Amino acid sequence: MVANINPIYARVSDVQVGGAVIGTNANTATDGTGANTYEIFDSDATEGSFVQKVVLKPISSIAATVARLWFCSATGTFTGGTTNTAGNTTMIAELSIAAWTASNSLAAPQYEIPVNFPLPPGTKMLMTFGTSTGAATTGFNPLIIAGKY
Amino acid sequence: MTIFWKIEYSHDLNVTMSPGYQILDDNRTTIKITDSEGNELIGGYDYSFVEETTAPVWWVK
Repeated sequence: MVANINPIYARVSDVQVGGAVIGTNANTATDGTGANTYEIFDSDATEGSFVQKVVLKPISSIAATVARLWFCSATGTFTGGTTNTAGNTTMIAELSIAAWTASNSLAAPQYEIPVNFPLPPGTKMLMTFGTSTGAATTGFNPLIIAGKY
Repeated sequence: MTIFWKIEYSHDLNVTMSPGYQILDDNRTTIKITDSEGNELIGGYDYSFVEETTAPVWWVK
């Protein structure tokens, strides 16, 4: 008999913000390794979380790049380059990002990566950029739409 | 117009950072990423933007 025959819903919304402008520091690795890897979402430590999507909006003017979204099965404190290894981190999706010049009369493009799957307790989603977006004030502060179980 | 950015890169978790260049076209799409001598960087590495600069001496249009 299956362990759970009932639908499972999030008990509370969990909208997380990456917490910093990321993009100026690039990481060309495609195996989940590298120090310039940023934790953007930490699932509920006890029950896990359901992640709906990741939203990216350019901050300032950016060069073209590719955003990479990763799942990392490690729990606990995250340290880029140490916690994420090829053995515990794998790519969820890649997204091509066009160059953009900051404007107050044109809306910047909005990028969304649908996720739509549950994350086990304490696990994480990470993000890297394949090339630098430019100066330290450029890049993205990812928005993650999720719910805690 | 080609754009040149100075970068610092490392293959070893930023323990030793080396200078290099990120070279972009006028659409700000990266053409290539090189070390300070113009050799294209390959493999997985981390790098950081340092500043915009002028064309290095080895650069040929």
